[in-house]
Amino acid sequence: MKKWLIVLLVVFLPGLAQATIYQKGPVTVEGYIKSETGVYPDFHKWIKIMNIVDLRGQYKPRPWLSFYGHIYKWWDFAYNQEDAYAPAHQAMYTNRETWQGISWVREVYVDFFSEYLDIRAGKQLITWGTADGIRVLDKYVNPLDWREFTLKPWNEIKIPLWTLKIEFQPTVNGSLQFLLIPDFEPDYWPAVGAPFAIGTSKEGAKMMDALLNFSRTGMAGVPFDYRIISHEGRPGEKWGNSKFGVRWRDVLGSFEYTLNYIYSWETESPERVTTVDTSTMDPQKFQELAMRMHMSPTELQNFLHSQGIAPPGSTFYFTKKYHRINVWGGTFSKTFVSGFLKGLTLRGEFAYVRNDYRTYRTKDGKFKWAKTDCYNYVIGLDKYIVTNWLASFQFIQLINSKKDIDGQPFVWPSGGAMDKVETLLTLRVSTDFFHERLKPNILIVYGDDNDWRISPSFYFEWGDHLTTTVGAHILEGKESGLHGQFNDSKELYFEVKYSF
Amino acid sequence: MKKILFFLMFFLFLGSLGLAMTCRPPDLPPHPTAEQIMQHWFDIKFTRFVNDAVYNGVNLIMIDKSGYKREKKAVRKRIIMHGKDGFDYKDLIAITYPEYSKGLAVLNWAYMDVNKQNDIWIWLPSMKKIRKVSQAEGDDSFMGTEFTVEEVTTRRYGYETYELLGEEIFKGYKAHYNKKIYYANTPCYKIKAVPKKNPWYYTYRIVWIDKNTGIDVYEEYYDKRGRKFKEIFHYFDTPKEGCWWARIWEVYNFRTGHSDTLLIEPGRYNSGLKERHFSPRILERQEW
Repeated sequence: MKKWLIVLLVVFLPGLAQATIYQKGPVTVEGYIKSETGVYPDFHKWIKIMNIVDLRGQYKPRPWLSFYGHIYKWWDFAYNQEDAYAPAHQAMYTNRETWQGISWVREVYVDFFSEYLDIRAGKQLITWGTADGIRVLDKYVNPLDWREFTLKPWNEIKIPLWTLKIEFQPTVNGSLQFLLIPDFEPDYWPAVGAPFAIGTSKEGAKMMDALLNFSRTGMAGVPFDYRIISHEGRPGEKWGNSKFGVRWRDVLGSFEYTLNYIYSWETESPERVTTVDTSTMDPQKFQELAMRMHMSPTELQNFLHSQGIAPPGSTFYFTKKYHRINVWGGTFSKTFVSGFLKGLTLRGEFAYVRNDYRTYRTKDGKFKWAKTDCYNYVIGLDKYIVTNWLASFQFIQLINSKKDIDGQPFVWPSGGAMDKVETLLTLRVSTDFFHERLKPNILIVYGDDNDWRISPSFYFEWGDHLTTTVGAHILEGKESGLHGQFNDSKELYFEVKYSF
Repeated sequence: MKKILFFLMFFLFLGSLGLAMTCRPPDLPPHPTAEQIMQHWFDIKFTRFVNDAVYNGVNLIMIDKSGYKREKKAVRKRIIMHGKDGFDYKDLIAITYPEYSKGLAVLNWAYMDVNKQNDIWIWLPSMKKIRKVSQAEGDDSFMGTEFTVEEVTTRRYGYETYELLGEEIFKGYKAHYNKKIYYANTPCYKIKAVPKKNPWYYTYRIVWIDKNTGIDVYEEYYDKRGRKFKEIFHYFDTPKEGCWWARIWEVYNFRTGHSDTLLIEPGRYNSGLKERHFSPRILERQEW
């Protein structure tokens, strides 16, 4: 494989050096190759060694008709380099069933444009939200690939879906968007052992290990040899399981707003249902166990039942259960074009989710799911403070209608307890130097449980084709916190991109 | 009576067609004042003499002191609102080159009231989303060039006070990007323009306006010590018959030795663009 790579590089690199956006008649082809390298600050382990090929093509035979395709193929060699990632490597990259949603065909769609109506049909990404660093409305449209948590641009980590998008513009600035998404993909979470494996996955894996261990060792020297069957539990491929969304957008003076509704699926944290089938019980092992424990079969059965232990040979079914949710929301942006606040942009985003399913931890430490209504909103302020220094501040609240279930609070994906009202603040400051060739940027996210993310980056344009980015992600907080769970995954990264 | 009314309406209709379909500005009045000259120039700059304008391409060449060259390309279209709902014009510009900037598009609504900032939406291809943003500060660089945002987009009649210094022969301008000399020995009005903002990135500028066309062919920028630190040159195609098109805008900064040239490919005037073609929905199409 390596030899082939070298041959390919030798053959194509000289041509690539001259390559640029190809445009001939109705055909346009462009793309880039990119290397992303991430390492822990003490340089003892790679976080990623990712090579990416991105290729986009458009065929536009008529001004009103266009065909578009986008290929995004990557290889992450860190998983080959680091032994610690071996289990994750198997789960994430070898077992294709677990990552079927992350196809290298990222977008492929046909566009039809007209005066009043635009139609886009095919695999695509939809954006409804206006917030930075957090998804409020968007999370209910396209699921997310969490392999690198939320540290990359949304556009690169959103999972595209086969969608029919119809946009009707009945007034000069008002447009009504319909979405029909007859496609289902859940959020994609990194497996345990991967750099950004989340707390609840780790805890879940521990519970599974304990079960497997018990299955092997059993009691009184008798192995229980449980059968364990996992089901993805995806909704069936039928029209009735489609997501359906609608958005109205209008501009009134300097005030732009949208009203959104989507009948969607909760794909971020599906309920895990465990059922035990004791009809597959192994009678021989049961008899042997009863004999070794000096109990009658009835006494043993009562004992196992009282202890919550399934008899030997039982079958455990672990099934993910995805729930339907209704989401109402909206966004607004207001630019102050005159007066005292001139130059300030005020924006907001809001989502109300009825009967969302959230994870909580039971008193005996297991995860369960319960319904709660959620109210999530963001208020943002953007302003150029001095010439080309843009400051962008956001106040975010995530509110659950229920504080807890039987005194047990809901939990973050990290496994940490979630308050009824969680508050986050973000600040982004960006500027540029050297004729916009150097673009420093910093994003600071603060959670009210003293949970932090600080992401500085320096982007530089070396020429018309070559760009580099150097940056860091500093994640701090309690181990159970949203960012604090990655205390050990602080990252220094370097990206080099050649565009053509 | 009905016939007279019909003919009157017919001629009114023809007149309005003629007005709408023109593609060159009206002449300067005889013996114009500084204010009339500058107002006329801003009408030319923002193509207020047409209903809409589509540019086939805008090519930006950036050359630094060492001769290192970078390039950006864009497409642009504009509709002139002629004061409808208080708007001056609506304008859409999208980057088409280089690849790493391609797709970035800016929708700009400019008001007649010069004290109002523009309403601006940006399409961010890296996030596939529209973001409503505040207008950049006037003294910020325009797309990384030596032009400021104010010089290219936001400065309008009323931002400065004007004084006619007299008439003078403009000796010509040697363009940095192709070394050709333009506008040699052109009779010009010489106007001193002083910004109302104080302090501002320039203290005053001297504007050379071609007497025949009313075009601002050359500008000199002076700092508070009276030193010239920047020059801007505009070249237009001004055929005796036919449409006028801006073709070259060039800036040179004496402090940095950096020059930037905007080469503009003419497209079409009055092609029937509608206001609805300048709404956020169009940004989401990502047509470029």
